[in-house]
Amino acid sequence: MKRFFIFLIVCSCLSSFANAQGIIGGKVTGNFQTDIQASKEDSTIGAKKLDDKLRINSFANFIYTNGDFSAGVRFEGYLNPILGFDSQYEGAGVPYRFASYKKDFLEITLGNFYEQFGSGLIFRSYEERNLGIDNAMDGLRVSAKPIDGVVIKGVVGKQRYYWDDIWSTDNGLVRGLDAEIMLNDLISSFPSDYRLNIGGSFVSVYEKADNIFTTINGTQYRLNIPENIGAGAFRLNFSYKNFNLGAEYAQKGQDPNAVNNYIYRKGNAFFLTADYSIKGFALRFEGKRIDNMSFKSKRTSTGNMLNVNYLPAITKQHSYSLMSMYSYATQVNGEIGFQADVMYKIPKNTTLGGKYGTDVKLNYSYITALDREPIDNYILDQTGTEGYKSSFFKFGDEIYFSEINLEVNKKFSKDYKMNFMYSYQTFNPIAFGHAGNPMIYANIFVVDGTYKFSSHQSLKGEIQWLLTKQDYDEFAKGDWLQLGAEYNLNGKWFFALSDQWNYGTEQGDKVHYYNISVGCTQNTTRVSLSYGKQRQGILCIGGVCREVPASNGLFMTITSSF
Amino acid sequence: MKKILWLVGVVSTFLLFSCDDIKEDEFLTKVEGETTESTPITKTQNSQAVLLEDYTGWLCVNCPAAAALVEEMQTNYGEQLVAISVHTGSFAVPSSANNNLDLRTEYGNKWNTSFGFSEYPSGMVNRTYKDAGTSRIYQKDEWNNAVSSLLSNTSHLLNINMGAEINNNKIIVSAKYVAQNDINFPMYANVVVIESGITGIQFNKDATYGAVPKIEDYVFNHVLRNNGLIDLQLSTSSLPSQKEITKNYSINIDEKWNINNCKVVIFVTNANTGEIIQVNEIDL
Repeated sequence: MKRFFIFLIVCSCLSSFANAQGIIGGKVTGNFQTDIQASKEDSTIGAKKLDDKLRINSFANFIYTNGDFSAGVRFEGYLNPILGFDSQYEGAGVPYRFASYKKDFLEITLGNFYEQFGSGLIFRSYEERNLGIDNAMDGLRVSAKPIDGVVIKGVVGKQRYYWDDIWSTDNGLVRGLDAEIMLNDLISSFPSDYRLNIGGSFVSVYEKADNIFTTINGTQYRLNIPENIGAGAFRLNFSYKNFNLGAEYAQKGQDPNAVNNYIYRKGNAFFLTADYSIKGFALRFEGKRIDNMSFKSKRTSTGNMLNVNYLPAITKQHSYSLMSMYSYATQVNGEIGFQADVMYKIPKNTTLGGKYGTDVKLNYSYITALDREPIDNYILDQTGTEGYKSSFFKFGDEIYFSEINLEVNKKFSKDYKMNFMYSYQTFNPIAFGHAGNPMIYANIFVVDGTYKFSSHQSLKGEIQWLLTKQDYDEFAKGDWLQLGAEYNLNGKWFFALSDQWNYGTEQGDKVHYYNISVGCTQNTTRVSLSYGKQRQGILCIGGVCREVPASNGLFMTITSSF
Repeated sequence: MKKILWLVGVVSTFLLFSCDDIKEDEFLTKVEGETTESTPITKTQNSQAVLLEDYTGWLCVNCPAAAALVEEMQTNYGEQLVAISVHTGSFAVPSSANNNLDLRTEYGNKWNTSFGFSEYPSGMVNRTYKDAGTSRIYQKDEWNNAVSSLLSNTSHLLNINMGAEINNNKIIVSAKYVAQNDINFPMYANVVVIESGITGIQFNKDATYGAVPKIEDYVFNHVLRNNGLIDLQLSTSSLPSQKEITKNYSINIDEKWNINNCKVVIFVTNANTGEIIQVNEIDL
């Protein structure tokens, strides 16, 4: 809190300075959200009794901008955190504050900031509120554009860890540099048909060594822990007419940590995207290999906080709830895979295309473990050793996830359209942290239709159906059927009903997870209220997941911006 | 161009100095000190004891007063207070002026840096944080209250029962650690030797404690010696109440020690916080 007041004083001084310079004015923008949850005990779904009856997550951003100067704060309150959020969030305060200005070729930010180098393989500071992730940096960020076509960024600071006063913790200090060169801008004679950007970055985390011990063949050893963990990455983006290619390779130095079982193997990651598109047709391919790339600013930390880097997912991101029941989470210790998308629009006025044309999308993804062999004389992942050997291009035998997905969007008239989707998923529960459990094989169907009664009213209905034989745990409970309907009025009001029915399980009751919701939007303010049951599950966004416990009750959300 | 060169220089420096690389044969260091040899347990413990670490040096003119306070406190608290004098920092650097008497230890110097000592005398009381803040360092005048406060707790977590004997050029130490309550964190054990009765030159500014400006025949007590066993893993996670862990240790005797004036001190820390949860000492 002391820092916050110092920050306010600095802002006041800067504001006075700005006034003295004759640039009085500026504007204040911001936004606000609160989520309110009341859940009651329900043994049929495993919802626990909440002693505090009501839980509220709230935040509000206030940003002042005046010319090249900006400053802002974010208030957050978790009183108490809604279900699924880490209890360490409990409390309220101002965890995010910054001041920033631009001068000549520099942009300087003091305080908290978010930043990303390339695709984030070695550095990404970001917030994903739905997952309860916030690894905002607290320190200094400088961005420089010394000449056209060259951008250099530098960051130094520590990462947020719930409400900890991070400067009094032993958490690591993160230092990073990134440079990107846009050759088309740098070299005026560069051929205009081509676009080529290249970039490189380096990040280092300094953290004091811990005492880490291991016992090998009955003898106790102390690990010699590296205190400076470095990681470098190189990337390029190339495009020519309708073709685009992006690639990034990253390598991380020795980083024995709790996630990799304290092995010394150097990490690496490779990420490739290629796409080609013409009118009515698009093709996209993504490939990825990750090898021992957990990179945190505290080596004993596990979970979603204090990640220095971000390893993107290359599986299809679903919005339908049964489609996303078995969402894949990136395996930071190692995985290899690819994803391909084909999109084709069947032309208008053909038998299949009809009057408006038909969109067809086919997606296939396949991810396995790395092919790994133990180091001579040691077991796989033996603490205090290189851990394992691995061939770079070879796929492992253990499948982590695969999906084939077909989607057809068809507009039948100006008032009526439908969406059909089929997916076959092979899911390894290791993604939910349940390694060794039987694989899950699921056929999933979705039919979704929207009818516009008028320009002010529409009705949407959907059916989702998941079929699987696996019925052995909370996350594998056999077949599900979901029905839903949503009525929209004037683009301001909506009323929705849904029921997710776990009719295929033999574990306990065949529960109906019904839900009724209503919402209203007025300019930039939106209020929604829902009542019903929420199943226990895993919520995944971009390959990062968190557990969501079961609940039964009211949930209200208010959002607003100005 | 000047800007580019400047930036390249910064980047190159950054790349060169920001990554450690450890050779494969240096990944692991064998933990020395544990042995299969044992000795009978001759000293048991039934109550909380506190470790007072006095950070000092022969050039520190206020340190004789602090040492006298330590003696007074030990008289008052008896076996519930164990004291160690850690000679470290710029005041402890030996020179011809003190006949090159070097009382520093490698780990004492490391603690001096890692705990952030810059003034002497000052110390730590069970390595607890002062006023729930971020510093563990207590000034001399704060020691008594800190010790008293810790000893006022009615329950404690661990007893250290111990025995020690000299065997050739080694000290064999046996310890039985008995949890008195559930301990829900990993623990490290530290086994060190302290020596009293070392005579040397000590600077001083208070005539109450001896000649001013220096005491020619000052007696240093509780001096932390080398060859100690630091941060040995005792438990990796939790230890339920009444569970026991037995360990045997071997410490090499340094020929500079007067072994008859030495004691063995064992203190156990919470591996997560570094705070000491119990300490005991035994004469040789």
